[in-house]
Amino acid sequence: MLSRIANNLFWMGRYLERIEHTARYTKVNYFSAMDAPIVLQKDLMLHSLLKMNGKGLAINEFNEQNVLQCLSFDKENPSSIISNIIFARENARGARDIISTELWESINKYYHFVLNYDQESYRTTALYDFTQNSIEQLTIIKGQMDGTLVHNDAWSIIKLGIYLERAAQILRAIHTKWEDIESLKGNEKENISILSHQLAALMRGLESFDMSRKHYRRPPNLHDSLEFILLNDRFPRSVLSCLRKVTQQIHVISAAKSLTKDSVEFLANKIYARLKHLTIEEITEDLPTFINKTQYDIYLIGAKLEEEYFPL
Amino acid sequence: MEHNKFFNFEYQASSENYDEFVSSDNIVRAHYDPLSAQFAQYKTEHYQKFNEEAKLVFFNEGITFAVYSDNPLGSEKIFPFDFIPRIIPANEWNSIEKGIVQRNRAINEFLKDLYHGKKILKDGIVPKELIYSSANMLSVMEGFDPIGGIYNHISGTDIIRHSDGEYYVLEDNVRCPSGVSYVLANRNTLKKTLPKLFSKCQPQPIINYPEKLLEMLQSVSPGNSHPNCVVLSPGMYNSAYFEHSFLAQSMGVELVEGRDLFVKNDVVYMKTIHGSQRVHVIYRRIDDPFLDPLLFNPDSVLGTPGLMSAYLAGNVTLVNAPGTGVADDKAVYAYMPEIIKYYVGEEQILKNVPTYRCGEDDDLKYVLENIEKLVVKPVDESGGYGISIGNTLSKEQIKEVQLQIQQNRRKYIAQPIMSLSVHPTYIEGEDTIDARHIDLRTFCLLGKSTEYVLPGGLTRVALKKGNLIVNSSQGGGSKDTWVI
Repeated sequence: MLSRIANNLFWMGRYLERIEHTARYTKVNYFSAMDAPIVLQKDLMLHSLLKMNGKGLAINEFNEQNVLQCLSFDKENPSSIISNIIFARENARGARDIISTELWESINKYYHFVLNYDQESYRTTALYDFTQNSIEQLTIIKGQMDGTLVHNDAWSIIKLGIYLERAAQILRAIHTKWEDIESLKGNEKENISILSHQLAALMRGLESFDMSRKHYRRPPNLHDSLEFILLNDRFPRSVLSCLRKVTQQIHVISAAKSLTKDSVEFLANKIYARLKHLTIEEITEDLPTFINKTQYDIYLIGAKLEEEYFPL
Repeated sequence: MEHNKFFNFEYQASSENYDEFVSSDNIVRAHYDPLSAQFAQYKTEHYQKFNEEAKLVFFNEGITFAVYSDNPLGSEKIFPFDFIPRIIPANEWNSIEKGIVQRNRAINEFLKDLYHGKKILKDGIVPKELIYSSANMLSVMEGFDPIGGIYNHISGTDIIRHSDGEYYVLEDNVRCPSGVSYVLANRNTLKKTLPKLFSKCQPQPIINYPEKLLEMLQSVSPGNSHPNCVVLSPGMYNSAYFEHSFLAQSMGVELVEGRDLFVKNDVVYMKTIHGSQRVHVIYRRIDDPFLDPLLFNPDSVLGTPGLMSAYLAGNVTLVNAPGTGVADDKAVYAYMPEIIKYYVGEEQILKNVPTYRCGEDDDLKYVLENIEKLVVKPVDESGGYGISIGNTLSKEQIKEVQLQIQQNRRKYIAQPIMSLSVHPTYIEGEDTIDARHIDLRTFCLLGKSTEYVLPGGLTRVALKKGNLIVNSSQGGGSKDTWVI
């Protein structure tokens, strides 16, 4: 496969994964703030949405409509849903001869869905419809990816983009929620119901609420929740599981080469192995440092991957 | 004007043009009977539905073309598609097909001769000045022997039917003729929209075009039993990008851009995730001047440095060969009957439109005096640009055209205004079916001992009433074309 096309596909995977996380995080936090235990929850929630998206707004522009617009339909915001689907489709179009017609059509269809969406109604009444549809159409896109592509280099590279981005998004969500909790006033921070409310939003935003409850069979707590989304190798939305798949896919595309110490395969294996042998107790001793370090590790894998296989 | 209810509409057959659907005495032509019978069962709502369905198929599949502009978002358009198919009876088609092959074989011989002995010029059949003044004659091709002796591997001959009911060749396109992906997309769409009619009529299949194309490409590879063929595109902002990717995908070969290729020791390689991989055959969809910045346009970023020297070393095949443009020049077109006779030894099967060459004194005099009866065309423009149709011009405009011609005589030819035949066409917005002008772009493949003509081709339709220019860049649409 051409290096340029590989680069297109890798980033297509990343853009698509970002959309899903933005949509779900927005949906879950927006609606969970409606029946929050404290009054000021709404502003906190809006700030949280922006933080998750990595976007700031000037104070005088900060209001609900602007925040929602910025996350979904602001073309100036490179992390908005609309920007990401434009980029993803652009990349898919550039690799049109590599991907299946079914995959292309599903991406193209979602692109038109976003471009033609009534933005006014989204900001006022249809947030659920837009975000839910986005999540569902992304599921279809990924279904077409797995169901209609040959599982060869091209597919592996798209999946690499998806898993790396998912790991990054999970860490980002944890980081954002951690800061949300930290920003609570002293007595609110001790309030169990506020805390568990934030925790539930975190877990739902990663589609991991039900499964973690089933797994632990007790009321959710910070320790269990973090362990589940960081270290549960069997749960597809955990960082460890994403990193394992990253190492597997890198192994597929580098099959022809022998493993050298300066290769991305070596690096990814090392990072995965390190995380696999960490305990949640060790991690929570200093969560912010752990998050920073792991985010940087993921950045390194991505950069090295591009350098080694598809430099532009 | 007679009115008919062929489509549950008042279909007004054309009196001054050849109507493909009804004869001059207003009887449906026999090969349209099944279509006519089927369509008689439909009402306006059906037509609206067909039209919407067909559009949706194109939309969802992203079958679009780009209109040149700097906004990449607003610039993709659906190629307008008309769901009423054009039908060509098999016996008529057989003779068209023979004519196309004859003509393109002759063009191939002509090119071989121009780049070798130039016998045809020495024998005085085609004037020397005509060839030497052509910007498309490439001196680097002199004496070079392309593999299999093929220059115009892919030719797109444009054919019309005049009011006398005869087919005429309007243009030869032997550089990078485009449009074939729309033929396949149109067929695919119409199958989904009108399945019943389709199985009743059973038009000749076109689905194997990509296979035939790949077979042809492989046949001209410089010696490798598993040649690596690629499609070379200027990239996704090119108006024909859909076609480039469609052809690459349906042949199962890589779609590359100039920056994906590099040349080392006169061998072409592509950059892949596993290092470099040799390329044997390049179906290039970029024009000669952009192929190689070392030899042609030094500012071009579309091509690959060193590509031409690899080609001339015989290590890679370019399809079509560089320098073919000298043969589809509109001034050379005028000599096609003589060219065919010279190389093939036969009379032309498909007629040529009588052509006046402004470079010649007698012809120039006639053209300047009769502009209102003529179509004046620049010899080196494509896409319908720069064409003046005499009977649509004001007095001032006629003067302007006269001036333009005199300033650059070699640049212009003129032909009688041919009346393109008309075909029933659904008119969106008015919900009627009305006669519109059509032409036919055909596709012919020549390889080393292979030859293939796609049955039918791309019927282009001028959607504006009375308009004769069918190019998509000028508001034209297309129809599925059935040979039955």
